[in-house]
Amino acid sequence: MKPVPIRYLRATTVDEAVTALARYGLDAKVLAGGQSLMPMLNMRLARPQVVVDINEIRDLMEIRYDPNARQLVVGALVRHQQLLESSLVHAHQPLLSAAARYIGHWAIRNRGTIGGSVVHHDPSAEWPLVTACLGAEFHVQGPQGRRVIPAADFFVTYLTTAVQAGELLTAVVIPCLGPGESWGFQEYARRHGDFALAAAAVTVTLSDGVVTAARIAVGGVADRPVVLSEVTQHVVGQAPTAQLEVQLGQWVYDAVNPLAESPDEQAYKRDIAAVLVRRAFRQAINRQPAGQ
Amino acid sequence: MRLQGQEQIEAPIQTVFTSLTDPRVLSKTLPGLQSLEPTDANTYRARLSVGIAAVRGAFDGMLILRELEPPTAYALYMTARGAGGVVEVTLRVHLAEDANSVTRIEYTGEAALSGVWAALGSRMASGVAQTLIRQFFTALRQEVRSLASAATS
Amino acid sequence: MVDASNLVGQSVRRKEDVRLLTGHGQFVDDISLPGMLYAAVLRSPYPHARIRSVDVSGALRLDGVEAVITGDDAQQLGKPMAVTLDLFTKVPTIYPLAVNKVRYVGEPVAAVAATSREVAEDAVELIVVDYEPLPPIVSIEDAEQPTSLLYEEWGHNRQLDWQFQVGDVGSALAGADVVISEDFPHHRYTGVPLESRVCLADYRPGQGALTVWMSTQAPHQCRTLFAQSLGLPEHQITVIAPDVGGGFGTKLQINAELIPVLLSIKSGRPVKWTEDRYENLVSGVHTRDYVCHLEVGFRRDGTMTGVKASLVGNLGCDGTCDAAGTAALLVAAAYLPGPYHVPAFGVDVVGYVTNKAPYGAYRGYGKDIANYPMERLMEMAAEKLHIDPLELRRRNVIQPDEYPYQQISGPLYDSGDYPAMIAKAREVLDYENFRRQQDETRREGKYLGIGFAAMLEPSGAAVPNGIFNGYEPATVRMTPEGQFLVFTGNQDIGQGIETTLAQVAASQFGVSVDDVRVVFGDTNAVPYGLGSFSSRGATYAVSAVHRASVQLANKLKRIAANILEASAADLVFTQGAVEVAGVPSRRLTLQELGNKVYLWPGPYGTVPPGDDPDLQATETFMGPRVRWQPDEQGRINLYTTHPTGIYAAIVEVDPELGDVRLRRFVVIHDAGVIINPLIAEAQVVGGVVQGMGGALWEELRYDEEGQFLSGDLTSYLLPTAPEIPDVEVYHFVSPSPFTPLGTKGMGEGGTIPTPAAILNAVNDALRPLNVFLNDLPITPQKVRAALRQAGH
Ligand SMILES: Cc1cc2nc3c(=O)[nH]c(=O)nc-3n(C[C@H](O)[C@H](O)[C@H](O)COP(=O)(O)OP(=O)(O)OC[C@H]3O[C@@H](n4cnc5c(N)ncnc54)[C@H](O)[C@@H]3O)c2cc1C
Repeated sequence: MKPVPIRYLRATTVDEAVTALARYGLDAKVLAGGQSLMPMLNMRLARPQVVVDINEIRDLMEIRYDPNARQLVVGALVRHQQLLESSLVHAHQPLLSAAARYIGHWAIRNRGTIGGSVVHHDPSAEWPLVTACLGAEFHVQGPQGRRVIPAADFFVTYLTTAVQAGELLTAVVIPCLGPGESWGFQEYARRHGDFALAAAAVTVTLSDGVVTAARIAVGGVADRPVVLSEVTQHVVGQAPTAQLEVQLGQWVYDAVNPLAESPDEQAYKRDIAAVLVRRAFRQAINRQPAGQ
Repeated sequence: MRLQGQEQIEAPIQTVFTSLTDPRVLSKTLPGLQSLEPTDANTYRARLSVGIAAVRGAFDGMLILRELEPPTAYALYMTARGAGGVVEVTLRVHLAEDANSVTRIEYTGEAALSGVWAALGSRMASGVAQTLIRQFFTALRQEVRSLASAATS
Repeated sequence: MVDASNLVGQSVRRKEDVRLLTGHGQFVDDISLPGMLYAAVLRSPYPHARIRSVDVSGALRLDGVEAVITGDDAQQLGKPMAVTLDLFTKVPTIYPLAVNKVRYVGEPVAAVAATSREVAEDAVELIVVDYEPLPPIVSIEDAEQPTSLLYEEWGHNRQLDWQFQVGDVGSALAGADVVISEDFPHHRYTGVPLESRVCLADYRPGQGALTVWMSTQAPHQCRTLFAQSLGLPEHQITVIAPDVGGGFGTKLQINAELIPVLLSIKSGRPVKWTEDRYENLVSGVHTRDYVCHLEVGFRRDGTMTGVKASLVGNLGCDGTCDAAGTAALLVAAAYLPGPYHVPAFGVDVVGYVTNKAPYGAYRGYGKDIANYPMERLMEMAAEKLHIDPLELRRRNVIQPDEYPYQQISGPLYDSGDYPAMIAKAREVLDYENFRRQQDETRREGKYLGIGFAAMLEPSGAAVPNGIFNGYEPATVRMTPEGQFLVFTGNQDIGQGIETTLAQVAASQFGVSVDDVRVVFGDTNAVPYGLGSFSSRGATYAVSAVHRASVQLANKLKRIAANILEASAADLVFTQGAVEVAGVPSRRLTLQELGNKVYLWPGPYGTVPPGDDPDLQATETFMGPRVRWQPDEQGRINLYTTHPTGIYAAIVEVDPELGDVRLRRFVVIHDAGVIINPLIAEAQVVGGVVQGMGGALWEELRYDEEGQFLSGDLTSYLLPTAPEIPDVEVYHFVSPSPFTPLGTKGMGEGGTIPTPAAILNAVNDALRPLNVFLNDLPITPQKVRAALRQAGH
């Protein structure tokens, strides 16, 4: 398991990286944390001619809180563990901290980056799910300049995103938790640290005992994270009763259409998508401040 | 790995069917195609260089169109060999035209991977396959459009 | 039992750990030779195909490529692969690189030696093979139809076919009050050593000598197999196994290891092959993969009337040359009656070849196959008979005063006390209380289950016709400076023999384990012994080392007595010296003794008449009760010792997700006299974890077309620490009457009963939901499918 012959380039600025990427196009790959790319190189599934290492680009390493826009600006090179431990993240979008805990193991989280995860786009991965759920924006720079891609357009299909050859993802901008908004995150994997069989991210805003807004997304059941907006519409305006939870499970069950290798697998993914959303919803409700 | 999908092309069924089975059109629309040489009736030798997401590779293979029932159905069989193994694709394709002269294409089939790809790559393979199919139809749509405009001009 | 001084039985810290844990171990991959080349292997993408042609010209043109070999070279430079083991089997004629056809995905077709592994892998991609695919034989059903044949010359796909019966099973079942009958399928899984197979071959054409460094459990047998597979004189071959990073049975043959050897012969340079994880999973040996149909008759009181079984194994492409697994099915057949009184017994065994990877050995070697169906069936019977599962076992087990016990199927059991272990299990589990708790938590929607399996671990095999024979020599030597060397053919593969064998020897000489060095893994240095398999260490190697140590100790005493002008009978070894008991002033340190014999003054005058100055002794242990000559009922006995146990798993099932959590795992274990409790417990726990892996996660999957789907450790799921509860181990000691120290080999016990215990626990948990699972591994998807079918 050794890669094909590869030229290794190291960029220290975004411009340098973009120049190199533009020059080699499809033949170049960005190297971030390497936790997905390196195995693919070693197994010769990825066979680029050039690897552009972005690990020394300081501008991509920061998490910033923008109080006016109420959003977190997360540099593409921010490591999973950094997000897990960040007090800014914990204070403003704790759903991220909760999800980060489920990514692989400590060693992987120390190297792997949010940018690498979303661009790699394994549809079972946590960051695609959470960023899709929260409606994040993706900042990309390429030979034609910069552009911003909304989450709804970013994840195309397995291992494919709207980022084009020659482009570099520079930051992920994530809305913060709003007032009255609470969250739930549930994931089920075969073993600790494995990619999810399925996962659910939920946010709920309650007012006067009624759901006024919600976001519901499921990962691991399709070729990209699935944002269940229609299900959300059923939920809004309702009181979060036990009965609603049961209904919610059914709605999710009906709404997802998992890609699977066998009818059993498909039925299984449906089952657990429903269960995980229900449990995440309950978690979110339980997190509401008392009195709601 | 199951392959399944639907596409629409705004052209009459006969045009679409002809394009789908015409090597000159295929050589412009198959993603990454580098050469397509006929070796027999409806049988071609194909060389492809495919690059999707992180996956890139050169393939050498055969493309066979059979069970042709113009203009409503045909089957496509393709094998491609690369460094990591062999991909074998079998697709049944059905066409139907609606009242607005839009042709709906439905395909179902299997892609079988072998060797290292089967053991290591199946997680990404379905993504790669879906993306390639999408690219193909995007290119085909364009090609049909330009054929149509060439015919009218 | 002989009086061993107090080192036997102590949890001495492992001597080897300082080296291994500080990164100073030396594995084959750490060794480099001048001019060394690196090998890479081209493997078949097809499960079954004829090879029309192989074109290596592209590879040969690549810079850095020094040699390329194909099946043709394998035929010209070598011979068909030697047989590892042949008991009632058909043996195919095969080579380490495919000749004419490929038989499984991952089979080596060609190989390259180049100046780096990278270049070698580049070159492999340039080899063009023209295949004509043949219909794949994947399942047992495929193999039964002779429409496609793995070995055309056989005319069928049966590699093994054997029947055995004692007593009238038909009437025994007919006369039973209840007969339980079920098919128990078991999936394919295997041992996954941290260190994959690695082999460095250095063929010196000048001397006609071959030196092979390899990661193996059995260096001597490998030397012989190399000689036979290459047609080289054996005395010109040296096999060296340095530190070995785990074996679990998977390193008990040569197959791919012949490839670097052939490349070295062809290139005249040393060639190293380091197997990568994909190669190890796709072509390292596989095991299990069988269906056992079992019928057991019971009287209403729960006692058995008879056992009838039919065992069908899916052997992959071969289990006789490519690997040594076929006989596992025979071991299974002999041990199906397990620890129970079985008045009548009959079994049919068939092994089919299919287009899957070779069938080899893995912790258990058939004892697991004997255990799984029977222990699953016992819990089904308990339910049917309305008898508690522990009680049902208690009513059938062999009683402590019946040992040595002649089992109906041939084996002679040495010792044990199942009733006491069952009682202990009840106590440790607080069993009655657990049942109450189980009822209560079910009402809260929480599904707890408990499952049991009795364990019987035949250890120390002596199998005729092959590399798994039963004898073991050891040489113990004292140096002129008064330290000791133990030379053993046993192989350290991580199981701790550097410490345990040192404990056994040190005990005889009154020295610490640090004064004893265990030498192993070099066929030029140690006597022809049989390495590590079948948990034979504490049966064979320990006994041989003990006897050789006793013999040497006696010689040292005679010489010391001569020097000290005392009687040898009055001398004792203590604290690095030999002295007249009770008279510490009349003593010689072992250093003084060694010096006197060898140097100052030397042997004349110090060594008494009738003795010589060669301060070493060699003893060879043979199993005293092994019997290959069939008795009047055709029965033989291969194993010398038999650890026993009662295992219990407590699981919690989340019916909504299909999740199975292991909550408690209790092992009541008896392996006779324990040399080192720390090491023994680690053996049990390690084995249990591998059994848990097989029960819940690990699976070598093939699709219907014979494509292999588990080529990395994200698809072949090994258990990791967070999944594993503390394994609670309780030891009993029933000394074996058949070994000098009362010890019993005990490396496999943990793996054998664990899958049955866990699946029994899951079925116990889900019983109120009317769900019965019968498939391994127990995946969440399967649990949900069963629940869905039952309407949940
Ligand atoms: C054992 C193991 C377990 C794991 N478990 C999980 C898990 O449970 N959940 C999970 O989500 N992930 C898991 N991962 C994957 C891990 O999170 C990776 O870190 C992540 O998928 C990729 O991030 P990276 O920084 O390592 O990217 P790399 O591997 O360096 O790159 C991945 C891909 O993204 C591209 N890329 C990277 N950065 C950029 C950029 N800024 N702009 C454009 N393209 C870019 C690369 O070219 C490459 O194609 C696991 C990995 C391992 C090895």
